[in-house]
Amino acid sequence: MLKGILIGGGITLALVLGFLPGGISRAKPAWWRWLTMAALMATVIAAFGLPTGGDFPSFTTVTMSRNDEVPQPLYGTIVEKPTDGMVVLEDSRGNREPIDVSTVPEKLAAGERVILSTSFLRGERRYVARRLVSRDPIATLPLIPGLEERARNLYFHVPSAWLSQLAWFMAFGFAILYLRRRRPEDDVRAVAAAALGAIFCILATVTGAVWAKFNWGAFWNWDPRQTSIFLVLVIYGAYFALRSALPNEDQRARVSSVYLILLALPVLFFIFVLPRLVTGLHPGAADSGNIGPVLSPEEDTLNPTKQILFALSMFSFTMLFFWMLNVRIRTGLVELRRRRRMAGSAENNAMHENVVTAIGSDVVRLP
Amino acid sequence: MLPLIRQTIAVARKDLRSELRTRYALNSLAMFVVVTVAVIAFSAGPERMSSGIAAALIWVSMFFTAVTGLGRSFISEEERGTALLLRLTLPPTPVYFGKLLVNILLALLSNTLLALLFLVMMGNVEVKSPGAFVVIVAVSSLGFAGALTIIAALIARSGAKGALYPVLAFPVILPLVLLGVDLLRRAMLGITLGNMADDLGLLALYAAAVMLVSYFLFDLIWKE
Repeated sequence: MLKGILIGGGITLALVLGFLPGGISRAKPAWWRWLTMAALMATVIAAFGLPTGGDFPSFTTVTMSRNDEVPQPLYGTIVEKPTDGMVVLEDSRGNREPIDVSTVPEKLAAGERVILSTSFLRGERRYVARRLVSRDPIATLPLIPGLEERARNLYFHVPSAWLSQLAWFMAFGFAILYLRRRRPEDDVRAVAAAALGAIFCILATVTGAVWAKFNWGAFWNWDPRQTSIFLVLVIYGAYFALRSALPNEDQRARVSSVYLILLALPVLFFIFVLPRLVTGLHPGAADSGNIGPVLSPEEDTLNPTKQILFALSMFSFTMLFFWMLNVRIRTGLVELRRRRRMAGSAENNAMHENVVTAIGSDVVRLP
Repeated sequence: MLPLIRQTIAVARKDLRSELRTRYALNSLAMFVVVTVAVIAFSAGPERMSSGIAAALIWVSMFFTAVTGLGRSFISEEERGTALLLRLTLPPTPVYFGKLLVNILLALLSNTLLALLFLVMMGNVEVKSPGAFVVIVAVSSLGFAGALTIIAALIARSGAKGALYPVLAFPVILPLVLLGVDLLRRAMLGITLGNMADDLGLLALYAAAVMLVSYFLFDLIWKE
């Protein structure tokens, strides 16, 4: 419930703020830009800077699945110090285990919250701390078995993928508006949204491919969501190819708007039908039995820090998108106005020439 | 008879008649099919093909055949300068459905020829449920015709028709390909029509949806 409010609220707030102050075609107020900048900075700093620290169950799952003694971060409170080189750590779930800290140079006191990079020695069945990662951290990211430190990509990959879809829907909306009102401004807006969509689509593909390489073993697996992001990339490419092939401005706006609307069919198919029809690697595929940690209604699928950070990253990247969209639309509108003025003056010049040739240029000089 | 149907048939008949005078599209489609299948036959040789690969090859050939042959309808009107006359004499709806009808006919013809030739030339590919195979090829042809008619109308007046056609058609056809390849493979393996009614229904639904959306959008691109 809380998760839904956080993430849904973050996105909704960004959408409201993106559309409301000044609209999407006029300059945003200064506070709006500062807010976006601050949120983005906070997202990036937190996503890279917060330490990862696991509880005992997730620690055990990770070390078991890796089948080695590479140290993993353990997060908890030191509740006891029985001897000098030993502490008893209590994790967030209340599990207590003794940990050998004789190799850690820093002094540890009882009552401190620490993240210890720890190995579990299988032969002797005991925990040995290798390094003190963080003392009294402001917040920690959970240790997710199978993802570990790679989980940080979530805060960049998911917003990019979401924005590439949002941009597509906005371009689609502006295309419909254009066809209803026939105002070239709407076409400028559709183009701006599509161009940004293409950028975020490339970002989502690249971050996803790198993530897939280190998590699933290959850059590209033709998982249904990879198929659909590929389709969206092709769509953006085809849209701009079509635009460049139409010389007449009015016709270009009309035909490309129609093409965008036609593309709603495959996009809907690939977003809503295919990923749930075919087995895949992303959460929410036909064989995974749930709709993924973010969308699942269960509370404990995402740790609270992660929920807040995820909501923040969705919020700030959506704001960034609206900022970029705003700048692009405004430059597009300026260009449109300039083109119109030039077309107007060209017409005037042509008229002058006609008048001059008709009357005789040596008789009359028009200003 | 309803005027709409009468006009639609008139457009289709006009197209077919002018086509039969030159046989340009028919000849090029037939030759394209023969050449494609021959190239596959020569390059695959006597190799034993799994049903998955055979289905994929049939679909690749169907895609390129359709993209090569089905774009003529609107482009030839523009090239011959007859589009304006058509625009003046008839409302957009019968023009769209007339062209769609001709394209469905062409797609059915070329895809049937292609599938037949493919099965004859690749002696070691066998289709275990031929009835399902025929139905799938027919429904896919409907989808191809629906998608390619509207794309042809879109690019009829653009500069780079030939190069743009497959690029624009690809996203619209991709769902057909994903569903169709799997269906064809299952038909070759001998799964009956009743057991793949879901996916076949989805394929037919997508084809119908493309035609419906095209019908609504056609007015917007056809009128000046």
